[in-house]
Amino acid sequence: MGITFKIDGMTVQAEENEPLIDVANRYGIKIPTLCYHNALEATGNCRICSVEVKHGSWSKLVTACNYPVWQDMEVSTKNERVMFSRKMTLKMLLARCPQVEPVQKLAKEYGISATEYPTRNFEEKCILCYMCVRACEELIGTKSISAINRGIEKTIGVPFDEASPTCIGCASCANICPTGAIPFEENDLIRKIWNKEFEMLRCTECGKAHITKAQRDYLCRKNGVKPDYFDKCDACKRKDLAHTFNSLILPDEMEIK
Amino acid sequence: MRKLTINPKLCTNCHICELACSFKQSQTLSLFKSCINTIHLVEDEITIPVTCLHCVEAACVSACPSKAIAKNEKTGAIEIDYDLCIGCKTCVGACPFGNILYDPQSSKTGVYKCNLCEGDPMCAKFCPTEAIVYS
Repeated sequence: MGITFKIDGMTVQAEENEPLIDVANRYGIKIPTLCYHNALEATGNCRICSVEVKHGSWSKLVTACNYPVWQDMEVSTKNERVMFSRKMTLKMLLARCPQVEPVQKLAKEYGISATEYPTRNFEEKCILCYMCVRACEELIGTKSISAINRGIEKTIGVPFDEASPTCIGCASCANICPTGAIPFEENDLIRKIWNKEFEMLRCTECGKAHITKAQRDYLCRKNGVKPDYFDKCDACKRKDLAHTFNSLILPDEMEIK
Repeated sequence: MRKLTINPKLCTNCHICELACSFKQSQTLSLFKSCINTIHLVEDEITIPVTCLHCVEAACVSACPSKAIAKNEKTGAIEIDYDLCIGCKTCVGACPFGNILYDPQSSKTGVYKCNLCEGDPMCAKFCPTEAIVYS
């Protein structure tokens, strides 16, 4: 362990430049988050994880998810300034998305039942955490969605709301979304997401739809496998495995004891 | 390290392993939510319980874009870390044996697989004929 510093008066040890939230979690100090995901780069979008960092007479509010720790700093995770900031962020989020469960839950935890800010759209579900954008860019590698417009008009979407040429219809954005803000429809023939219809690939044996054709082509290109790798669904692949096992079973008289 | 051994000749196709697995994994008794599947081959008159092989060089591990699938060195099981999983289902297509399953209600991201019940597999515990043994 490289350095020592203090969180809420407790002396902790950490590696230099480790994100503050990882150190706090390791020592059992809970910092609330909305846009933090272990697999994605922390970007400090939601501001809920704000904590105060002090050193001598200097102090500053920082986002714990992407703040690198340093020797002798003093962190307060629950003081008045932090609580005021968190409550204000929560009130603004509650005004933006009054129906969203993670926000409601957190607001209740912090004793907020009403917000003085006006609500523009009661159906709004997107909290602008950017998890979908980061997953699409960093993990899938397609970079199909991004933030559109500025300020209060900001939304997440594909360029010009048109069918994106790079989107493969994997629906990872919809799966990672913590609030279910990205709608998609799916049946055995098509999957519809981001104003684009994707043809589904059906198992050559049972006909069950498992991935989109665009996703298959993308995965084949990325990993250098042949398109027939994705011909069968999981259940049919298991059946093939059972047949393979069966062909390996020795007849009774040949069994090795 | 203990190993899960399957002897299809002793399997009676009673589905108890599937029910035990589904109850442990998702607290429901459903044959569709089980990580182990008994496959009855009618023409060969045999039933073969099929589950994850926990490959040494696993396709799911190398396919996962968020490095959420890794081998647990203690049990030897290949496990999904749900804090890292983003639910892209690449592993479902990548597994050449179809042993990674998808069901939106079964886990946080919908993807699930055998994890040897953290070193105490229920399928082996409940198998009445010793077709599945963990030793």
